[in-house]
Amino acid sequence: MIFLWAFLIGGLICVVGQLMMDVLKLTPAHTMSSLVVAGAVMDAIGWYDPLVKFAGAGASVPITSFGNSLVHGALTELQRDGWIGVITGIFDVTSAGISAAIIFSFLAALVARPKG
Amino acid sequence: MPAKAKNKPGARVKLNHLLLTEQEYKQVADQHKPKTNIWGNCLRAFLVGGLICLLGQCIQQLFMTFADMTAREAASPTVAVLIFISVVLTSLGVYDKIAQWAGAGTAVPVTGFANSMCSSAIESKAEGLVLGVGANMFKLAGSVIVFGVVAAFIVGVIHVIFGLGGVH
Repeated sequence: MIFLWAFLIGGLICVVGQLMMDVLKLTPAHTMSSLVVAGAVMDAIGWYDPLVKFAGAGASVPITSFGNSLVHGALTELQRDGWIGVITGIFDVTSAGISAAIIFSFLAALVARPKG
Repeated sequence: MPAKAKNKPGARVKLNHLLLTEQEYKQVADQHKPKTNIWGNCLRAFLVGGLICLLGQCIQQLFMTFADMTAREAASPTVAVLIFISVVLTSLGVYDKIAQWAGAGTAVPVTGFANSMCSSAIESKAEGLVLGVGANMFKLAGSVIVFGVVAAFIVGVIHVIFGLGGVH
């Protein structure tokens, strides 16, 4: 069942992004930034965790989950280490994604040739 | 008589015996623009975006089944695998072809984030490893990181000020 919800919720979040580009005429960069901030706000008011539990990768794969993870890291370390955790914790959860993207992109740039 | 395009600001454009101001020209140009098919775009974004998330769910399930991870533990390796797939497809030039068709369906998932970094890195390869690849990799992805981090910081500060202590 979670596979169906992953497909539906993930697809719906992408439709929201598409509508922001088509109807509100936002550039892709503005759309992505807005979605990340939306994810951060949703985590702050406690709506994103239930969504991840419900839809699995449908909620954790779209870029909104990046905002969610940033807030998560900050709040978890705030709880553990006090106020300094707000700074030290931000990249705690997202480290895997960002590091993987940097490393793989760098290696790809060494090997691949620009297209078109 | 073919019109000669001269792009002086405020200049009249001569087009088929018509003298048009820039505003009128823009009106005519807008009439002939291909209309964006919002329903079609949304449907394609939904299908491709949903399929990428479904693929993510399958990868996560594999980690949970074969590596005995909880859903939360499996999230990071899942994202890393998706990013790896995205980078490979971007290097082969396949991802951008899918992206032309799917719009936000390929841009919104984390694979689109990796795609923007990888394509910036490859395109600026000619400018060198440091000034090209290193400096331009975050050209598009940077704004996502900046606004995400600032938003997370504000949420954290609100928690500190109101003494919520990071409890959800």
